[in-house]
Amino acid sequence: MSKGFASSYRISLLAAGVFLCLAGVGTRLVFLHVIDRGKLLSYIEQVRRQVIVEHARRGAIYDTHDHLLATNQSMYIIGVDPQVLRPEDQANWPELATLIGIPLPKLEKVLTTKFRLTAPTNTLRASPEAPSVGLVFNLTPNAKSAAPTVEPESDDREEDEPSDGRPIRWAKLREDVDETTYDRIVALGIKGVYGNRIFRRVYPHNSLAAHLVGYVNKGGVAAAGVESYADFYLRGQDGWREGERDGLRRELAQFRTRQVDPVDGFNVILSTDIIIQHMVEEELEALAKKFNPAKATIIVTDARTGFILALANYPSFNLNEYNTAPLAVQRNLAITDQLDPGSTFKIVPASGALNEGLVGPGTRFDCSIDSIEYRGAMRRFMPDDHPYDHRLTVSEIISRSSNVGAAQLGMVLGETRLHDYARAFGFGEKSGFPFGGEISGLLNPVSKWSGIDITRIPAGYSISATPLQIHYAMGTIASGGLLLRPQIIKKIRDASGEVVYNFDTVSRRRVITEVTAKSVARMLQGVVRPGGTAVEAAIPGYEVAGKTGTAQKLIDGRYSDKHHVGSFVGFFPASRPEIVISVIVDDAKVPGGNAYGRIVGAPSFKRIGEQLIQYLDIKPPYEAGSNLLAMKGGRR
Amino acid sequence: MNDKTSHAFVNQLVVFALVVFCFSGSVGLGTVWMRHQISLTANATKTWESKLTEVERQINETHAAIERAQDPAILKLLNDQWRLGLVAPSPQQTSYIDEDPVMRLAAKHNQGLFSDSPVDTSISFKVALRR
Repeated sequence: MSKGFASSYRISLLAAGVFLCLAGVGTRLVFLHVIDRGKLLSYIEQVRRQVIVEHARRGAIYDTHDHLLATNQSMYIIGVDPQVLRPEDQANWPELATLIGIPLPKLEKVLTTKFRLTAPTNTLRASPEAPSVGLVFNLTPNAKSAAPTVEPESDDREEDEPSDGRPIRWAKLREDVDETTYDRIVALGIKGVYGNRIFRRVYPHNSLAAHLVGYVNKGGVAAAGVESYADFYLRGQDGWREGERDGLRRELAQFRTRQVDPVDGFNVILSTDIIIQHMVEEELEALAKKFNPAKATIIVTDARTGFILALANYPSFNLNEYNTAPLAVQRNLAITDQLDPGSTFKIVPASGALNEGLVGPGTRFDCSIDSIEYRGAMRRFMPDDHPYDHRLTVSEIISRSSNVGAAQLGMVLGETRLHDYARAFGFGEKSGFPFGGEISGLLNPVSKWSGIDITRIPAGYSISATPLQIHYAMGTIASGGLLLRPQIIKKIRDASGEVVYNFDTVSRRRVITEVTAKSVARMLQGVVRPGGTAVEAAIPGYEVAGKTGTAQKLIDGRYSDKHHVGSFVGFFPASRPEIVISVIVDDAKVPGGNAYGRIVGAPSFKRIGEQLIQYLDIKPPYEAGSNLLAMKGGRR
Repeated sequence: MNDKTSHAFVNQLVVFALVVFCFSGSVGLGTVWMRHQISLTANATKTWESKLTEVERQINETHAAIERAQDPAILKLLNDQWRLGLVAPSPQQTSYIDEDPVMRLAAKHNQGLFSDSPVDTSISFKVALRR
């Protein structure tokens, strides 16, 4: 047998060497994998292991026709590290100032301030003559000397560092830079200027439906409106993944160990229609311009379902600039403020008396009297504006809005039943509107009524209600006697478009019979006919039913003759109600007159109604025609 | 143990060691190559995922931009600025009919075309007069 390629001595030596090396390597491996395993693993865990949170995308809010009302948008917070600025980039500073929209001197001040200012008291205490501590040096390349400058606004700076002259490594320049602008800023190539991407909630329609949509604040907290109420559906669930990162803190995708995907938030579809909302807000704007009211509310709902088609308040605010709007403006007045309903409340005693069969539409009352004996005592009425030459029927009491007549209807009904009907119509209790801040209004129990309350309450005084309560009380007549729950969310959809939940009509209770409701609706038509209190609300060719309200405001404990809440609440077509509209104007300034509901509310009702007829294709009930034809086209 | 046996054993040992080295080296290299491929695939997947997210984000932002442009107030402003004069018809301009509106409009348009109503049939020609 051959000796092979080497002598046995050399072979043995080589083999021994190789095995020694292998033994060495093996020993080291035992140390690494067995003996020092725990220590090394904890070190690795500390240095390389990371858990990355994947934020869920917040769901969007749409109107009933899938118009986007709220969505997410990425923006950049632009900042600068003044320590790494280069002199050759200074030529681009003016363009940077233009792009981020701040004056050049202010930008220069931020870019050239390289150290944090020490608090003056500390400086003085330490050494009044100390040249460097406590001063901010201008270290721009062109600066000949270290001239002290003014410290930029403190809120633009890191807040967690002590003010001891430490170098500034981050100064915020602007926090809402869009992507296109950011790309142009990056293209300038200024070293040290960079941005961090953030996601913000944006509202494409700005102030449209502001009080309904609500907003998410910069801290990511849903603060108002649907954003807050439907936060459970909208927010989604964050995901996370566990893995490792390299020395540059980049994720090593191959070392992902566990991963939980984020679940995006559901999309919320409202019953609101942006076109109707726009009509309403435009009308509010016109009202504000004409009457300069303290506040005003317009509500439009579907008479059959109670779903809100539009709700707007004056004053309002831009959702994208919510932080500049005072809190008083952000309140949804329709549910947070109460007022005397005035004559709009007269539907309650009239409906109650009719429903109980105590009176009929033709039952007459003497409304020329100024007082009457009731339960053994004389009760003085609230006077009517005009004397009547004949005894008024119940229909006329409604159409002419007689306080004396309404009080007598209340007396026929009695305190207890009047209270019960008022409560049944939704006064004195929350409507169930899903937003926070709703108040229940004021409806005292009968035991707390004073002697004259039986003459005041039927006329809508000594009682307070929110605009939404007044609206849904009228909606009870329109819906055939059912008090419906105000609803704003129509359905919930997941990210793929599948409907997760459908909201349906919710009836809170039956208040009056359908027959009574139809009877009251017929009586309310008299309000807009000649002789009624609001012919201004009549829409030619359509049966409009409604009620004016003019309540004196309680100022310093007395009812004022100069300050009124004027309103018109109604629906149409009266025999087949489709739409309920409320216009409530608080403290309107009417030149040379009072802010009656007829003047401030009825015309707005008519204008909105006419637009809705076209937009929603509401047909007059007594014409059999089924096809709509614009005879003169849409131009004028 | 004689020399021959010892040499044969050493030779076999060396060959075996070389085979083991080659094999384990191949396995090692294969493992490295495989892990590299895993790494490449994982990073490519990550890149595609981020691109997908980015595209979805851009789609959402485009939707928002379209919605901004379709805001009723903006459209109304443009209507005024461009003097389009577009307004919704009022109820007074609208008539409700029982029949098919297409047929009605066609009848209205073709009225007189087939002599279903009196039409002006007089025709005039310009005549050049000779002097």
